[in-house]
Amino acid sequence: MTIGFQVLAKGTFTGNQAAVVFTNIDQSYSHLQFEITARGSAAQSRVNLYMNMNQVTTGSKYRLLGTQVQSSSSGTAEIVNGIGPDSNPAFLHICGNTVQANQLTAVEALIPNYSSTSFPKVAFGKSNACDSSGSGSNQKRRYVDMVYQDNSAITSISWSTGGGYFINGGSYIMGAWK
Amino acid sequence: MAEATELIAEQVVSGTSTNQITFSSIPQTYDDLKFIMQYMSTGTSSSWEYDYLTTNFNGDTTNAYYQQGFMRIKGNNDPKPNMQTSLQSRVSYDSIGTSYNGQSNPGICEFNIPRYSDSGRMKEGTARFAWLSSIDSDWNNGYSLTAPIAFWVYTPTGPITQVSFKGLSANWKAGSKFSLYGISNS
Repeated sequence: MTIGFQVLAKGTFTGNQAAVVFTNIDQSYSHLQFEITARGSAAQSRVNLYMNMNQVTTGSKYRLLGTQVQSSSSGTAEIVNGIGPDSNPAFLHICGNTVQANQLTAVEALIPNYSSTSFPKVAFGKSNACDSSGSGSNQKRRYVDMVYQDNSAITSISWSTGGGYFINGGSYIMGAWK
Repeated sequence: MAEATELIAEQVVSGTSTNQITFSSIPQTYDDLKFIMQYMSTGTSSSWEYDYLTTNFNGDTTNAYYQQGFMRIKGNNDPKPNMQTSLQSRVSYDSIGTSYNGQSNPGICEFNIPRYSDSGRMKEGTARFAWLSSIDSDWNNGYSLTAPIAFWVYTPTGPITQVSFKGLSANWKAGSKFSLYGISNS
């Protein structure tokens, strides 16, 4: 029997990284999964997190749809819609550098059939940009899915944050389902 | 708790005549099952901007399935729960992209069956699915949707040894991929 899930790459954010880029992704697996814990350097409670397939940020190839719950909206789920076609939309969120010390955001994304050349690619995403002090009004738990309107196989992925860099100490894993 | 996963089987559609994907004789040696899938339909009928991924267990098409409620988010619409109040003949998730009107995007689904080999217990599971259209007018008319979490119940109490997936309106498009994993907790 073949091992189902394997870690292809992992690391820790160091040196004020603005992005983490996975290149030459092994094409012999079926589905890609990312697990990231991160905090942005920007002096905000929440910052954007971008995932770019094949590092593409041009051509308006992305669309988003999903939901998010924001702490200031009295528990009402908001729809994340009408985003796209866009060249570089904010897929998910991580906490910024004004939230409680030592707080990191958990992020997960899954890209089924990433090596296919038959279809565009669709990704599940979720993130929990929160402030455990409970005082932040911009906390957001996000379930958002993203389509990348291109049939090319995904051979590289970049993750980057808006307006700064990933604070040292966060970590990332790229795994794959055989 | 450590978790080990194994690929049990994978099916990739070729040609245009495959109507149903079936995983049979599923080994009963794991704790849980997980499917990860990306799929699209050959359908071009104007009645089907999107199609329904239907799931059946053990070849059972009787009214033995209860789909419970799930949060379904449609393009240009409010998040709305989708509730079933009666037993159905399948689990049904509207997540298949069709080829109608030049639409080009597939749907995706993660489908989980915990404790699938248990006897004497109804089976309950979860899923997450999404279909995002490639066409602007579809978005404006609410023809794109995601469900962050969905629940289902299969009321018979025997082990699940077979799982099948099909669309309602047409065949699977070539390149659609269905992967089955076994998960062991130790």
